[in-house]
Amino acid sequence: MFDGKEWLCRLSAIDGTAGDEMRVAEAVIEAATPYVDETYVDSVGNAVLIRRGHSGGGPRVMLAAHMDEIGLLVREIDDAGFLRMAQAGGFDPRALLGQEVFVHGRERLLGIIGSKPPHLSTATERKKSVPLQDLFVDLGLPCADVHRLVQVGDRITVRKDVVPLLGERLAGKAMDDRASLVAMLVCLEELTHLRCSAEVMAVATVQEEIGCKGAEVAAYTLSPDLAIAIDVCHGETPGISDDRVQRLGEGPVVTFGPFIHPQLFTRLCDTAKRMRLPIQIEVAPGHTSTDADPIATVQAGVPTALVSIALRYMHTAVETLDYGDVVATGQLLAHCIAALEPAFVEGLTCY
Amino acid sequence: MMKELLEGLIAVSGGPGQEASIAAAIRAQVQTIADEVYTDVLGNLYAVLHASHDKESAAGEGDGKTVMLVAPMDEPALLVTDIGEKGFLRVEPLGQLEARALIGARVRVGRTGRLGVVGVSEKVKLDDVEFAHLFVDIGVGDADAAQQHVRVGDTATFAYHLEAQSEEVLIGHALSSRAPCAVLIRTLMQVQTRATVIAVFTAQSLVGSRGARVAAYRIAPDLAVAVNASPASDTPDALPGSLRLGGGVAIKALDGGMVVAPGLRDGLLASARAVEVTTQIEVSPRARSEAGAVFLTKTGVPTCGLAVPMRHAGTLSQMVDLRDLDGAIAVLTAYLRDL
Amino acid sequence: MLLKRLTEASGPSGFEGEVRDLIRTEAAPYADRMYTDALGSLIVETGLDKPGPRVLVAAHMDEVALMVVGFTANGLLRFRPIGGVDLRILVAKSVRVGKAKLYGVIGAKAVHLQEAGEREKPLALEQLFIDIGAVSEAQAKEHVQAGDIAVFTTEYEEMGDGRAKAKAFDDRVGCAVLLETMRGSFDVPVVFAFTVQEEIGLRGAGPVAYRVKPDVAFVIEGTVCNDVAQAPSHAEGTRLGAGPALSVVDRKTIVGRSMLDFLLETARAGDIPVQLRRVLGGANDAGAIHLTEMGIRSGAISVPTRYIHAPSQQISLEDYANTKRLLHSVLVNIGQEGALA
Repeated sequence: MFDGKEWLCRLSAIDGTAGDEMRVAEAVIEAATPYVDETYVDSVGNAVLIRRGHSGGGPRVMLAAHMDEIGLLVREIDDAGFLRMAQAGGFDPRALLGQEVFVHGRERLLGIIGSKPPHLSTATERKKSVPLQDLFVDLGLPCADVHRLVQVGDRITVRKDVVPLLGERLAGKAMDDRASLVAMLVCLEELTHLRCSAEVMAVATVQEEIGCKGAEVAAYTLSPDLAIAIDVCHGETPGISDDRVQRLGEGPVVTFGPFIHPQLFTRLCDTAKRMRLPIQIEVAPGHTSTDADPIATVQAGVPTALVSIALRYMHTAVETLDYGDVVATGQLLAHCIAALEPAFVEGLTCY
Repeated sequence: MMKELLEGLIAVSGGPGQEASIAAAIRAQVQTIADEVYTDVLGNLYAVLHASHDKESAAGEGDGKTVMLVAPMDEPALLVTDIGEKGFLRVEPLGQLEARALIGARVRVGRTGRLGVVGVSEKVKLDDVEFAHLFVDIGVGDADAAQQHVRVGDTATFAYHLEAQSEEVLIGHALSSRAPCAVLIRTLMQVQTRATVIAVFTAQSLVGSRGARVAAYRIAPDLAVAVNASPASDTPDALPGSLRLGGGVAIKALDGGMVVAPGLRDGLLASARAVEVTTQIEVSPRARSEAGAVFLTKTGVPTCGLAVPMRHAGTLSQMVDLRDLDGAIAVLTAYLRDL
Repeated sequence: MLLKRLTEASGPSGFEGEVRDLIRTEAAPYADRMYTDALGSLIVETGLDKPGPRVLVAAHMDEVALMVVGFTANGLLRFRPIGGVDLRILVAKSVRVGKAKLYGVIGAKAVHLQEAGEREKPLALEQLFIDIGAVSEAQAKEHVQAGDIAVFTTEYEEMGDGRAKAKAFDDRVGCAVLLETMRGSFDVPVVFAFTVQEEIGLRGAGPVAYRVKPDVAFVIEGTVCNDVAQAPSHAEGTRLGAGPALSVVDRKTIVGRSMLDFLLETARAGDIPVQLRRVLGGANDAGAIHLTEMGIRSGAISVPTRYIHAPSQQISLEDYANTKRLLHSVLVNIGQEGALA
């Protein structure tokens, strides 16, 4: 039996920043193996999970959810052995202060992100947030040991185990986008119970946080008939206008807008209606900033849709979501894919 | 020898989109050593070195593989957008240039290479100077006379040359591209490898790696190594970065458009250790190279990179250390040999 | 009147259906084969059995517009722009909303109610709403839903001395040039493409170029023209009435010298007035096309368009006519030996 929640906790804890997703890929492949026919890691590190259809000749569907989490790199080791950092992905430096981290040197080292204590800072300084260049990692090691164990360019990831909140809510690091990986796994598992003629090529992609790179090359390689990206979107947050956020626990979020194929959007909505599954609709007048954006324009163009899981406090160590949304997202995808008929897929280029 | 090569390369102008002259100068260097040399629609120059099969050792990983080496060829320039009634030229930047830093700079314009000086409207405060306030004075009286030398859409490049501060340290206005090109040329001259090596000197790098993108598509290499110049952060109050001038060739971990997979980075480090070359690791969020564009090509190209540390990047007096350049050549040569 | 019908049709990026249907009807008699792609671009093939270089001629169908994203309790619509809209021009304009094309107006706080100094600041998106006359959120939702689009109501009219005004000349004027050019006969295979999503990042043209794989491409556009009161020569970009503008360098493309020379020579030989586009800012589909696969030689010919991206844009009908003449000559000459040498 597939225990998605257990897998989400496990995947969330794995360290995998952009360009260094191998450990996540191994775990995803392990989790998916019972439900797919073939798995491999491609030349840039994407994990590709292939589940063939009941009969040959069905539509070829690509799913994409990214493996990388936002992270940091060691930029400089100062004379006292403190590490200065550079970003790989969009962190809010304010959320880093006081955070525990792992530095991935010759061995994995525990560190604390520090800065000048309030007692020693001026009143003016305390009114401003601390910029990344003033933050440092303290490994608690003698300088010589730091230099022996760490070099410039080593990765730094936030350390945070998943925190179970009330009900089905979970908080942790890298829920963006490990939650979508679990949704993809739920989909693959669900498909074992359904009759499906489509070939599903579920791709756990690399380097989304620094420009959706893995998805673009995977789409080129696989050249699918259609694609659905899975990512997280902003959950309701005080002070943010309703039209920019979605609610936790109220179902998968299906995106509508010029970057999304209109018929595929409608099909996802109709599928949800058929399943009596509540969904939410997000309106995006321009880019979606997800893997969906580059996939759609690869080669001669790929009909592409986007399904998201609402999540609060994005790009912090306490990304919070409702696990029910993760399961519902996987189920929605599975039932949508299982019902794809060749005529619908052929019609996607007929406007 | 390196210094002479750089002197020759920097004497030739090549703004983005107008790389024909610099491409010809590089072609002259590689014509006799490469098995094939050609150009494409965007203006890239390709030099192909077929695998050398005369090596005594057994078959290796590099057999049958194609490796792309890539370095930018173009230099920052001013695009001529308008020729005014009195013959003064209006310009906009191609590449990272700061308007007020160019006041008084000397340029060569258009097709005749006429010398010009960058002037500024005296109605604006220095802090507020933008490109709209600059003009180029080519010393003619009217638009018709100016048209003899320049057409809208031509570029003006900076009229300086290479100077040596010491035995090791060189200063020049276009080293950000010519130093990486020189590294590729010198590597081609000495490399022995089982792989097919295609060195691409790219056009239009400064406007978004346009040349690199179509070149990588054409070649679809198994592996790519990008060489660029990245800002050194060892000057007073420099912005954060990991590089030091003279600290050795930098092995790329991260730049503004690329994160290198740790395994590929370690491959370059291993080759450097094997030939006992001093290295540093590059973490430069502000730097740019052709790596990011090449990586994204087709089914994805495993890409790593070397960077030459450079002080005063983005100015007309870029500074490099020959020892870092020599290190880059040695590491690249060893890496290709070890494939 | 083609320009009237094209500019008055609704076609925001991603929602080009109405324009596409109109073009499809117009193009049908001249097409050997006509089809759409995954993103919705319309591709019209002519003379593919002919020898000579395969030529792609492209114009984009989409226009900048607004998208409804939410509602206020009292029934006003919140919106965000699709493509590059200067928010300052929106206030006190009328729009048509949704499939039912309801009228709406974009209002703002009356001048009487403003604090001193307020007028100096442009209105932010949060201060702007579309008013369709609904009295409540519930009533508004009976007629409009999030994701509906709103386009300007401007009608096409001729004005002044040989000028015309309309919305969306960028780039329906290009679409019109293609449709009229298509009626001619050429010795080379020509693929006319009406692309989608140019205004939101040149998204449609790349896949078209990948599919068509042309030897050479020409983009027909409406481009910036600022030859208005007090603008010095170097701030004009182009000049209205001075002929089609040839792109040299913009934000996304550096046009090759041989291409530019070919266009200049074609214009000279045909005695067609042309001008060079004198500004770096802006971009068009050539930016995506010329970087497709191994690189495609691309040129861009534009009709100067004043107040581009605003509700009322203005062109010179003479520039329009000369753009058609130039494209025609280009397609006649491009097949000649060494045309792009």
